[in-house]
Amino acid sequence: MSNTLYPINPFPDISPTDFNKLNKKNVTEDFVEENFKELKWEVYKPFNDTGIDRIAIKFVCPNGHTKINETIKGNCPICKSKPVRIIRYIQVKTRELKNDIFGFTIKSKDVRIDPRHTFVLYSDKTNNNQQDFLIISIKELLSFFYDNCPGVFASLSFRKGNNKLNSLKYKSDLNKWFWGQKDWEKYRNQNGMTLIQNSEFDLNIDKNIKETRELSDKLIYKFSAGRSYNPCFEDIINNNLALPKPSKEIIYKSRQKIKTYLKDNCDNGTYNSMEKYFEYIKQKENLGEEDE
Amino acid sequence: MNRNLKSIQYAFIANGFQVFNSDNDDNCFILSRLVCFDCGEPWYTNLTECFLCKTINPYLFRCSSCGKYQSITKSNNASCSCGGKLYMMCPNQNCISNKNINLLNEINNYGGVFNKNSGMQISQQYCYNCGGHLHFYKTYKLKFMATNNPEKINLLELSYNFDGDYILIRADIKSEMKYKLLKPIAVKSNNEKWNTFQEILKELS
Repeated sequence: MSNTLYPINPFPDISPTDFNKLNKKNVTEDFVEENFKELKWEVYKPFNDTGIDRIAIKFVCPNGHTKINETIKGNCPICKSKPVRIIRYIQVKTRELKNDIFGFTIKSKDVRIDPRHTFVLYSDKTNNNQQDFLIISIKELLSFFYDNCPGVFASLSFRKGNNKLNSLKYKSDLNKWFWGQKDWEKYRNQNGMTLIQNSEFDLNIDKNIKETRELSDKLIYKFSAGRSYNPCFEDIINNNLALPKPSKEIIYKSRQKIKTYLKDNCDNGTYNSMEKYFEYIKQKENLGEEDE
Repeated sequence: MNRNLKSIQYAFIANGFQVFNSDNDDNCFILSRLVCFDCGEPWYTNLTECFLCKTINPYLFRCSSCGKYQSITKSNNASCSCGGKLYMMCPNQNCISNKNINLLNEINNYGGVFNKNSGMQISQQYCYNCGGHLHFYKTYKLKFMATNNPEKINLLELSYNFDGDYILIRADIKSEMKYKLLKPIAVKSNNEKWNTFQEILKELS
């Protein structure tokens, strides 16, 4: 299977480029879904619109013998190993290229540390008759950022939720994708699908969660004053952020102390309204919300 | 999707699960939620905490003059009855955003730590329940069956070729909904006892 044959257009009555920004949300996620199914993934869509756009499952050989367009029912026909069920939590970000740039945002709530969380960056109009997927797990993405752009989440905009990343670029003369100067071809289409089919995350989930957390912490606990804050605060804040990570017991105790402080310093109505607001925020999680 | 399936899925959603459906199999669905690695309680990505000291957003205003806290739903967002200005400050008195007066003033220019314009709040990084720092997706693939004739269920047939985690059976027994949650590999007989929905939730937590 060559990169030029994938992704396919699963909807022959219409071209992916015929949709506009306002009416393409459902069709683009369906486009991704059908292309996962094409490679024998079982795909599930959310009942409510939550942060995960699709869940994809397949069974693979733990020794990498399963082809990209296969799922195995019994033991691996090559090495006889028991199949591993792999699950990927897919977040789709669809963009039309602007000046060959795939611009998208990553907010702090997008940074999950379960390594099975996977971004599908879907370029629905690489050119008039070409679509591309850039498929990358959160762990791989954080690792890439740590090696190549360690300040990517230091800006205020990351925490404000409008951190537009404009480094992913398609070079049409080379027919290749780059992040800055770094080649991103290994995440493109079948190459990316091959990477996320590796069962390492599923087999050693605990270790990979901890490693993803380490990477995430190194990237998110950085502060850049930008144009909003006086630069003199940059060192003060970064020194504060560099203090040893508190244990969960310390976090718990500190939060309990603050809860008591608020109870003592708020009238009943105010305290109850705070509790109600927490409930509202918790409910938002699974009742669905607008995502970009 | 049939009404029984919708009904059971709404019951899970009301109890904090996210539900995912397949186009291919009407009886199978996925339950998933992001939970704390240490205590298993839900992880709330919409909840925010102080970027500087990890204190949970109290969703309250504080008056810069009299120090009184006020609900964000009731306040007019501008000023306190005493005439002081209201800010969404971090309630932790040991937070650097409170201890360093210059920094406090700078952050208050953007409405306070928990004002969305300040860039000083971040999506939950530490568990709301236990303070743990890790989370993961807890996920189950379920096969669902609703019946009014529980004695006629063929469990072997139901579990045949099912590669998921549980078979969930719901029966209307004397006008009361009862449930069985069975691991497909353990299905041997139809003698397991019936449970309430709350007991099923406990098993999946």
